[in-house]
Amino acid sequence: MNRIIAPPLPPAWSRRLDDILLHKVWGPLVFMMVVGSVFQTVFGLGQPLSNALQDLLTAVGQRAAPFVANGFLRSLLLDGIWKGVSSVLVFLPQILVLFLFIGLLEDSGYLARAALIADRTMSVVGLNGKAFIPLLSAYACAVPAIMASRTIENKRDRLATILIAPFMTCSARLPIYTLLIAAFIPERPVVGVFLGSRALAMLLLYVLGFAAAIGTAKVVKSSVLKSTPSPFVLELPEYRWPTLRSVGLRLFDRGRVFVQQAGTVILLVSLLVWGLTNLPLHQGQPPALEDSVVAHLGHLIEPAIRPLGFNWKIGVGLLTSVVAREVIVGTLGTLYGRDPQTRSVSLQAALQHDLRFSGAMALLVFFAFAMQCISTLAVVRRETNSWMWPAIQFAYMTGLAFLAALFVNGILSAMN
Amino acid sequence: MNQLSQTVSSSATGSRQQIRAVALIGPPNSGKTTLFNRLTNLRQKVGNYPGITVEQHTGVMVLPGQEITIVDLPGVYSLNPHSEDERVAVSVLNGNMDGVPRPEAILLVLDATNLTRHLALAAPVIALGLPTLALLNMGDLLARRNGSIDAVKLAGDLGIPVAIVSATTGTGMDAVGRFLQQADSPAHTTLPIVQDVRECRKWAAQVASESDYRPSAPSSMESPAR
Amino acid sequence: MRILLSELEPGEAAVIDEVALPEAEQQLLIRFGFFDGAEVRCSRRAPLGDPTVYSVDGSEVALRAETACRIFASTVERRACEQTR
Repeated sequence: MNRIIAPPLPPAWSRRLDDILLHKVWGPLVFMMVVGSVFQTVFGLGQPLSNALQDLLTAVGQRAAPFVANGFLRSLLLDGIWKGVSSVLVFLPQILVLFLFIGLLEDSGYLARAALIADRTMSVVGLNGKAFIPLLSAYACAVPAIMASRTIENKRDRLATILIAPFMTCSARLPIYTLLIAAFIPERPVVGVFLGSRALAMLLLYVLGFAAAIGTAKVVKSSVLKSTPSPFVLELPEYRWPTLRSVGLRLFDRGRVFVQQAGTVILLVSLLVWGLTNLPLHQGQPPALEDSVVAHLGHLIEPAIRPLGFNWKIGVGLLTSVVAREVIVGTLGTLYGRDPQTRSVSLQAALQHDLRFSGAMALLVFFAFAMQCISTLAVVRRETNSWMWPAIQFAYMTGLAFLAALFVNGILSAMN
Repeated sequence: MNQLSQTVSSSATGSRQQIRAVALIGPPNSGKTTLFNRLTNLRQKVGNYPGITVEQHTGVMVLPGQEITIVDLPGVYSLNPHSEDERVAVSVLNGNMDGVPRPEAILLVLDATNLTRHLALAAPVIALGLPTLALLNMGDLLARRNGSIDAVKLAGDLGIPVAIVSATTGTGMDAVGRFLQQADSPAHTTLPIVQDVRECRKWAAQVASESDYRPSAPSSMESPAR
Repeated sequence: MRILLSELEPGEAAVIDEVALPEAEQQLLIRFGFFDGAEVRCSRRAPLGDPTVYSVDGSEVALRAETACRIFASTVERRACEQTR
């Protein structure tokens, strides 16, 4: 008796769609288009919306400021609380845009296909195909990227993705990269008109972050997180039209979760840093930045960071940029602006005066590796539901940053 | 099918207590979340179960004269404690989860177009002995494909009420309200050894075929569902 | 004919004999439909060759070769022989 084995198949149109979307040639092409548009949208839509929201919130704060007479109280409400709240809300556009995209991809069924296509390359470093979109979006900002890693059901793969996401060169690093590169790297053509030395430097920094991410993934997946491997099993659901209702509800959910849970931590730390910058009081007025508690802390850590080529002002910048990486630019601007020696020159010139080339390169490398964003830590804490993982991540990344900066400074200053 | 060794008998039929908390359970991709959203109408909150990364979704469903807490459990295919999601589901269903009320009834959500696989979850859930309503979700999809199932026969075989619904269109959802207002424990029925997932799968296949389950008829598969 | 699931070519079908993996991983696969006695068809391979998509029980599930090579299955002829026993 010859029995024909015929397990029930999914609907024909769904299979036909897969014939195209998982085709040897068309599949990857569509994939790259989809992935490209995710990237483009988050950068081209999410980022500008975020900036616009920031400007709006800042403007609102400044309008309201004159209504509070007392200098200290005004600073507390405006620079402390309002700024802290804004720094949380400012992430919402990027989170919502990314999750809108992911919601559409997931509900339609395409996300599983994309994960399937990416899996071969990702598994080489021990990662899951589903990690591709979260890691890609980390190039814009790690905060929504880490939240997006929840599409990865495998716990260990998800954790590995969360741990390496902050290494991706996020857009908050760009202001300090641009500043230091412009100040310390003379513009020279490297590949004719196509590539200059400054663009090359920027590219190398991107590569550095990427390499650190891949390296960490390999290390982490072959040791700590390897103990009980689960096999990769991915269900390809049938294609269907996403509904506005379900995508909308999920957006609302994610936004609310972020603001309520990560937002509280971010706000608290912002207030803390504000406190350190605005104390001790002189006759009821906040002190000048160089007389504040944080400046004292900067002087305190100076011996530790001098081997990296940094001075106390950089130290203060490192401390304040815990809130957000780009804050260091503003902090340095204020400090150098008040120093009589550098007050009348541009920030670039001030840095050239105060830092050596080796120290500047070390600072770049430090920023590439260090875990400086409190919002990222807050989201990691929320997504891993523990304090241990964000603590480990902070220790590991900052340690790596310190050693790398030390190495770079040492090598480059020895060469001079 | 020779290992049917577990039976579930109904508890005292006289006691129908007022239901205050209900668990919503079902496999992944069964449309459970859409159903949850429809029942709770945005009266929901998200949190974390203590100490682990599984998210906790609870909501409130409003019925005439009462408010019922609904706990949306993570999507699971069985109740064997092999993954964290399953351990959480079992813990909540046994009333052992801190901060979550012990469920007094269960809404079992299954994909009507994928019933043979999904029914395997029905065995361990029914074995818990709590009043359970089986919701065969995506009924609109099944209809579009000219698929069918004898829901009455299925209810008889399972020992629990069965309703074909569509969470996306809202069809059939009033069955939930009716069930919650007068829930009975499962009737006497024979189940496979619920810890053995293989046996549950085979039992599911048999139950489905006894209820004349057909996921589709060939002529209808022309375009994606809306 | 007894084969490894990873040897199944797109379009071919087989019946699973054994899932030769540790208990925990076996349980995971069973949930998705890969258990002894189940019918499986190889649907397609991913564009880069791995993973492979299998049709099982009305849905499509993808497995990497490293997992599929631990699943033993039989194609039509062998099962036919067994049934006459």
